[in-house]
Amino acid sequence: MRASVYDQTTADDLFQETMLTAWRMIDEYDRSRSFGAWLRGIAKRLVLAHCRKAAREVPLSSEKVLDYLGQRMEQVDRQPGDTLEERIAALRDCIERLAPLFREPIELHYRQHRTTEWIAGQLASTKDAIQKRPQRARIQLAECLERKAVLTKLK
Amino acid sequence: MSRMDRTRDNLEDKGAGRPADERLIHALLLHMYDDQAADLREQRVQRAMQAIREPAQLHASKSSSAAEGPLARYAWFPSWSRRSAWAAAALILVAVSLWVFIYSPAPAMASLEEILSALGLPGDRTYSIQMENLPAPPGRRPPEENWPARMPRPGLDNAKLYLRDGRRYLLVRQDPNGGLIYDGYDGEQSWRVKDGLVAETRVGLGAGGIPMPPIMADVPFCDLHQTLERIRVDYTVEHLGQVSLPGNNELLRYVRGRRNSRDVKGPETIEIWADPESAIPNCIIFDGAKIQGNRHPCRLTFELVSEEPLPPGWFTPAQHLSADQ
Repeated sequence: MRASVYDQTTADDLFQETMLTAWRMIDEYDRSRSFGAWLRGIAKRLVLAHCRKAAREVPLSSEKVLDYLGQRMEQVDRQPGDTLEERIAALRDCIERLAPLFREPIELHYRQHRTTEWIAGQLASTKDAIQKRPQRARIQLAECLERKAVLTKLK
Repeated sequence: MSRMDRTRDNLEDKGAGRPADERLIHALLLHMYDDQAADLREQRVQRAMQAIREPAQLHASKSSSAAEGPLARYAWFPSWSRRSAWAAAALILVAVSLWVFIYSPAPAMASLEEILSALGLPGDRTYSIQMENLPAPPGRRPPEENWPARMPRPGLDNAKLYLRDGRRYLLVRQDPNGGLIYDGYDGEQSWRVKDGLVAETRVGLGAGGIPMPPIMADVPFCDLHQTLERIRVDYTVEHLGQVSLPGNNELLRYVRGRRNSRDVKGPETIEIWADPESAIPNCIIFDGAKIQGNRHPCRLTFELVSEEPLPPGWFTPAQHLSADQ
């Protein structure tokens, strides 16, 4: 849900709505299929409904991106062995492997909630350059998780 | 085309794949660095469970119109499905409960040891304190919406902390009703001077009621040596080489402590910039601190402003009775 909408409060509301809808539809759930995929399907419909109402979320959560996210999550679910905790540990390890150029903005942004301006001042860089670094860092982290087989490699 | 083939084709479409992967990593990072995640998830699940228990409220809730259309026909609950529904709810609870993490980076205690030793060296040091309220994390409601209004309490912004020999201390801060409040320790007793009078004395360290982060408040916070000592146990310390403070070219020894777990009551991170030779801290930032009486998580910045000798009686109440009267 957090990957689908920017606003965390909206994500919380949609999470609750998903749970309620799942409750209502539980007798429709086909036990031979993945429960997680079924829940994500409900969540996707609610996110898309929300996006249609809130125009600013549309570029973030196009149906195609949501489909892909759902497939990614399904792949992760199917992988045997790793718990979520272990996957987070893998991500943490990937962060440690990032070059300082990319690791510092990630930590300042996500851990300390610093503004782009503050980070730019701290790292003696421009705001434009700093804005791009978390994006590039996230792509590097995705590639790192692919190498660790936490995510399936893109062809 | 089989379902499997369609899936593979979709995954190979990097046009959607990379943005989606980036969003996925973004969500994982939000989760990983959210120290309140467990509490918030618990609240979300409780809210969802509460709403499930009160189906009458469901229809009045703000479900989106697009979702209501195709899903409305499922709003009734046949009794035979309740058991499986509860099983599903339990499954959801278990899945959400697994959403936890442990963070334990490698420590670098040697630098902290040197800083602790330096703070115990003879000499007077004066630190200015700046307190800055942090914005609510993205998407979270600002504290004003959750907290009732309260009477203003003495803050720490623009306060001054005087230290002698890493043992005696004096904190001078603004009283919101006017004047200054002095909290000190002269080596034998703690005292407070307010409105020009001695308001409180007690034997030993610790004047109560100072609105500091718990890690500092419960170990006589002004004893900075003791405060930093606690970091050994509750924080993972990293030495990150020599870096300069913003706006200053001087290279300083940079040590950062990260709270080991959300169970530790204290700032989320503690950063120390210390003199590379003497190891005396030039700047200490307590970040993400929750302070009694303050609605926002805040950032406290201690900056060394002077090492000039202070008057001999500076750490006794008598000196400040005369100053305030």
